Amino acid sequence: MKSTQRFFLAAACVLGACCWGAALRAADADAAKQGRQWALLIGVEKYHRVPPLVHTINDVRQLGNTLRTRDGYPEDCILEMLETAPNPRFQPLKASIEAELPTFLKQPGPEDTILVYFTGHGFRDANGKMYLAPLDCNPDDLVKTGIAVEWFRQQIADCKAKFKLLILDSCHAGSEKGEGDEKSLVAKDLGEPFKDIEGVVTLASSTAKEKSQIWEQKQQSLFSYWLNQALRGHADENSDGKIDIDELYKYVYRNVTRTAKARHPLPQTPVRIVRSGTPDVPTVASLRPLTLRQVITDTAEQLADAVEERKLNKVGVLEFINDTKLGELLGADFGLLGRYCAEELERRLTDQGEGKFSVVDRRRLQTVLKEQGFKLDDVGSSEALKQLSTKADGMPVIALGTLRNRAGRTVNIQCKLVRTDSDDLAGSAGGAAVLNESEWAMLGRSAALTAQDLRPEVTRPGQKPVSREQQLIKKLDEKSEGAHPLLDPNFSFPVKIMVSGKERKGAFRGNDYFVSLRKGEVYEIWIENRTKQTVMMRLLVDGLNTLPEKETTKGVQSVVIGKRVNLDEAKAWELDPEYATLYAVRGFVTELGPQGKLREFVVVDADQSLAARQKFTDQIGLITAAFYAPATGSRGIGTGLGKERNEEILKAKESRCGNLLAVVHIRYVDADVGER
Amino acid sequence: MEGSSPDCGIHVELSFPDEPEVGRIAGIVRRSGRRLVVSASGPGYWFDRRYVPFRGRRWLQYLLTPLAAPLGVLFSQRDLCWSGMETDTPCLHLRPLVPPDFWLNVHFRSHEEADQTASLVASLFGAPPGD
Repeated sequence: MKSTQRFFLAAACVLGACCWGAALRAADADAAKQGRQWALLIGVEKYHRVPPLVHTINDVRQLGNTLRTRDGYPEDCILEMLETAPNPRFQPLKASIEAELPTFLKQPGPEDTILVYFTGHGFRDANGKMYLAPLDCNPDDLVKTGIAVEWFRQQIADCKAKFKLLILDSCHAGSEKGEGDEKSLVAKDLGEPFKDIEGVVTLASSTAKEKSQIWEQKQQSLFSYWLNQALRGHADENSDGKIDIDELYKYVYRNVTRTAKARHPLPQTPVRIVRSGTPDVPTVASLRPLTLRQVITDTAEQLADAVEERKLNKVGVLEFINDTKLGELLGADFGLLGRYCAEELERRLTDQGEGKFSVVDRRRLQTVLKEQGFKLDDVGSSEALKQLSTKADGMPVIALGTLRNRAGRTVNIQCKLVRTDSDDLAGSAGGAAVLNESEWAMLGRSAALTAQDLRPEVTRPGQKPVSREQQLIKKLDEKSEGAHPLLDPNFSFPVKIMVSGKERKGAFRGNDYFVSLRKGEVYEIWIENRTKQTVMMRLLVDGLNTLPEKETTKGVQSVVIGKRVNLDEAKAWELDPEYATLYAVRGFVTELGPQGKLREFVVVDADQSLAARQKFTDQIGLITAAFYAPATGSRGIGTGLGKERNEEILKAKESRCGNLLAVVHIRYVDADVGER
Repeated sequence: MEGSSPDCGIHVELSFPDEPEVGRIAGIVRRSGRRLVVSASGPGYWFDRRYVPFRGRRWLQYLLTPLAAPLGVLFSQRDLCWSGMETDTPCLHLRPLVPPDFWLNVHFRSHEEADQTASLVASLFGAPPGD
């Protein structure tokens, strides 16, 4: 290479590096521009000289936890001041608040937002001056022992954050401070002085004539409970992954007023105080997507409250469906996920409703739906809903879930409670859930990844980094658009259904593979590992694990055969090529070890299947084999290919599942139906 | 789309940020001369709010808003805020310099209708005098 060429090459490299650096800096600047979220949370419970309050510590803890785990507030941007703090610096004492608050409020920059939450007493002195009551407050000497609201106001006004949300939950009912105590202040009074500060929106727990009430069952104040639920994601009305101030207020207002009416002796109305000329609608929280289980658990909790509040005695859960018919036409198919969500929701509602309401058995509900010929359109028909309710022996409300807008790993879940007698909405809940690889596998699609697919993607400067999971699911989505992996002669994990020692060939339709089986037939599943490396395999039949799982009930550990599991948690087989390359799974394993036992796979009526007997009907007729690279640290087991039914099922070395390599679904259908 | 052309008005849903108990009501957004008119009528409610575009200093808008009240509510580009653009249900928040009781959220059923309204508003601000 000539020296001139070398010079130009070097110059190009330097220029490229500079551009790269500049782009990176620009990306950093963009991130900084988005701003950080800060939170200052103060809660006082056991006052030294003032009647104590209840559950305020829990209110702060719950809120702090939500901001950290659900709303992406960085840990170092949250300051909690509670009397339980070991360091007096962080206890809500007058001196501590006056020292810590100005320092903390100086930190947010002009692009940042801050949430300030106070739960405790507020007082007014003889001159009408208002005070927040710290832990060591003496109501007879407020000037010396109280936090002047005027001072607090100045601190908030001096804070540079572009948006400041002040949340006040004070004047708690039943706080033994006397209903007619003229000194005590309600949240709305406390919020008034902040009205004219630019960029401040105040949310007060009640109007001037009301008290902030306690929801004993939730161990929180009524207002703080719903505030927390809103920030957990339930207030995200338009499913955009953000909660703006309008959505927050609307959600808190509706739920607090409704719950106060239904469960409490007095009304309670949250109030928003906002300066006119606040031009935009600030975002209070940018939601972190939750796991599917978290979303379903949250949803069940919310729906159970709604059912209980309306004193309804029975609820039915329908299978989760696509949001629109258009979605179905466009191929937005959620496979087994809809059924799985419904079943999980039903199970959680059953737990939540213990002694309060019952949940209609889904098998019974499905039978009724079939008998009535109930269609998706009928959800909007009060007549059809009434009929359905009558046939299900009275079901005043029905839970109808929808899955929508799946973008890679994220899917939006929304569940509505529709009254069957009036077609009215009795409640709704939901959120954005992030699917893991195994939950993706529940979409019912089969795909195999190559080593190339598993390699981390290189992100360009300024480009948003893609997580490994995101990348894998993107690849899985792409691959699942193609043919079924079993059609590929070079597929690393061929799976065969064997009947009487012969392979039962099936039919491929797009990404599906159907195998016909007749009632009474005994089948085996043969799996080959061609990779020459140890691979972990989770094998589910009808959604039940083929390996026994341990279960602990009331401290007693037992082994469950054919346990219904989420693919993500199932105990895995270890396919070690040193032991064998071809494995046969002949049934649900009942006992491990050299004297291993299993119960054969016998084709029976769906109603008589092991899954149906356990009331898990969503995955009947489906065999799922998911293959993973091994990851060290946990346990696994393997089984050999043998003729006897009493056979050796060896415990293998400790290992657990790592990256998903492939997932294969085989649908087995009644031979007569299949032939048709 | 039926009833959704800017000439005869864009059918939308309206909500009031400071009155969450009201919920959403059906309404129409249309242009009338140089004003944006948002109207709604139904059992128990009826209103016809006129919004007059204003280009100028913020402090001037503060001063002129009460004076211009008989003509309508003065609003500038700053008083408009869009949200939910990445969802199926975009929303336009109208936050003029009036008490929050008079603020309005306009919910659209599609991006097409939101775009139509955005063009309508843009035309109000861009329209030559006397249009």
